[in-house]
Formats: sequence, structure tokens, C-alpha cells
Amino acid sequence: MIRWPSDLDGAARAFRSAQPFAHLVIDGAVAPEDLRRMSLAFEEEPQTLMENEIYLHLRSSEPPLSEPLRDFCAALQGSCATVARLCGQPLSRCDGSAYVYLPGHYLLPHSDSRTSEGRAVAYAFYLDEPAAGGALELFDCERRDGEIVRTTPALRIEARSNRLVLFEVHDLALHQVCEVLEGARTSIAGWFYP
Amino acid sequence: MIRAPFDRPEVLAKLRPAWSAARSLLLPGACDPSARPRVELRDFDLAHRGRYAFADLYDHALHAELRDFAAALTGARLLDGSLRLFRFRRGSYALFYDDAKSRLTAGVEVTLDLSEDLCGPPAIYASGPGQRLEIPQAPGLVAVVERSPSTFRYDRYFPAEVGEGEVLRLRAAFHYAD
Repeated sequence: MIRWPSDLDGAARAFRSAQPFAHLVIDGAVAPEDLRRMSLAFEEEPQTLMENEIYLHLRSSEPPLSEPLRDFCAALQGSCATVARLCGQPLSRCDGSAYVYLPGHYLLPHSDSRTSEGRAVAYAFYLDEPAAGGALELFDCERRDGEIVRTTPALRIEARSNRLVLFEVHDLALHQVCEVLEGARTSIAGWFYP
Repeated sequence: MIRAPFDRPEVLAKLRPAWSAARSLLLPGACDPSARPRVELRDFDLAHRGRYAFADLYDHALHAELRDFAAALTGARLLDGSLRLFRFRRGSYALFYDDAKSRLTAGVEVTLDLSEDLCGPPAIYASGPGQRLEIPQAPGLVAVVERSPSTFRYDRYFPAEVGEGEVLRLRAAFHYAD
């Protein structure tokens, strides 16, 4: 279901050398008919409004309930060896939820690193792109004596339809979802684990 | 800065049972936003902590006024901590981690909303699952909240709908003396 790069070694090099931290953008990640099925499934997918200090958005269960979205998560699970090769670390499983960001929704700058949870690689796959806002922004961080003392927005990855983004998880891999200003941003996102 | 009748100890003493029951109290219209300090603010921008402007104030008369107010309300002996003015605009926020860097772990925090406009999201105190106190953004509102080691605060993100509006929050921290 997922159309991984044909040159996996080249893509792995691109992942490792990407700045401000290792990441990879894969456009056209699924066939157009699969993308249509998944987009339609979003209309049926139950979502809950979630809010805390960092985020405000709609989120599905984990994994999502509708079949096309579950199929995508299963395809990712079946691709652990491929993602491991791309990202240069052993991976055995992944999870995922469906997200909808409406105007005013956001995910503020944070790292996904949770020692107790063992997240190794994060992913986000975009379906419907918002008319304005909603980009994934990566930060360049400077650390001194164990403390982050400077953060600079370094790269914006637009939430384009049929785009899959992989990025490494560690304390300095700070990122955010910019506020959606117009339209809806739908995605499936989660993590790969060792 | 504190408006009548909340500047009178006997009025505050009558509110003490409500404070004692909740360890927090919201007093709409209890401060005068037009009396806000005219000071130069400096930007703070560390993505994992927050984005806002602030100024540390060294106004002993103001600090004493707010300490007397908080002491009369809570019935506790209080010692001065920080006195800081925050300004939030579109795109501003402050996370738990930012609060963790300077918070009180045993005392009382008084927040005065000195904004001209009603335009922003609330500030939120949380002390565990389901333990949440929302401080609405309302000019003139005074919030008095007990801080404990398990209490953290965040200022919710200011979205685009805030427009050109700005929110000023004056926060005075007081340690328990006893």
C-alpha cells in the first residue's frame, strides 16, 4: 500500500543528513485510489476534541476504527523493516491515530522523547491539506549544560496531501504543528518503536 | 491597584471561608487595569517553554499592597516572592516547563488581569488528572491561587482569532512564612 522510495540507501542517506535533525519527506506515499478511500473514511471516523498545555485538536482512537485508516496503520506495521533501514535503527512495531486540525487548532513545540515509552521514529501522513497554516515546523536547538538555551525555527514542511514525513525522536528533535488558519488538516500520525 | 471594596481587610476576611474551601478564588472587577505599570517589556522566546514579553517589577509599594491583600484574604503570613508583568499576543503561550523554572512550591500566587481587552484564552492551573482550575481572561479579574509542589500553570496558546489584541497579566508570588 505504501510506496517507499525505490532507492532506499539514498533515502537513508537523505534521512541521516537532513537538518535540523534527521528526517525524510516522501511525496505520493500511497496510490491515489487509496488516498481517496482514506479521505472518505475520515468523514466517518469518530474523533474526540483533545486539549492540554501543548495541543488542541481532534483525535481518533488508537488505532483508528475505519478500515481504510486501519489498513494504512497495518501497512506501516508491515513496513517496519523498511523504515528501520531508512532510519538506521531497529524497529519492530508502530502505532497510529487519526487527527483533524480545524482553524485555531495547534500542536506547540515539543519533543516526542519519552524514556518510558521508547519512541524511536515519528511519522505523519497527510490527507487533506489546510488552505492556510498547519505546517510541520522543525527547530534547531542549542543546548548548554543539559539545558536548551536557544531554539530557532529551521524548516517548515507543508502538510501536503499524500505526503509522509519520518523524523527521529530525541530530546533535541523539537517540532510543532503551526496553527491551522483556514480549512482542515487531516493526518495519521504515530511512532515506531524498537 | 486593588479596587474597593476588595482593598478592605474586613471584606477580604469575609471571603476567607470561600478561599479556605477551594484554596483559590476569582474576584471579577477587583483590580483597575488603567493603573497598570508603564514599563518596558522584553521578549522571551524559547520554543519548548513559551513565547511572550515580560518585565520584572521592583515596585515595593505595589508588592506590599498585593501582599496585604493576599494575607487578608488567606489569613496567612506571607513573604514577597517575584512580581512580574506578562504580555501575551497572537502566537504567545507559556508551558508547564516554563512555570517549573520559577514557580512557587508553597505559597500563594495573585494574578491581576490588566488588559484593556477581552480577547484571549485562559491561564490554567493543574495539579493532577482532573484537578484543573481555569482562570478566564477578563480585564479587572484578580485570581488568587495556592501553589503546592504538584501545581503547575500554563498560559494557553493565543490563536489568530486574538487579532491585534493583547493581554497583560501581573503575577505576584508570595511564600508562606510559617
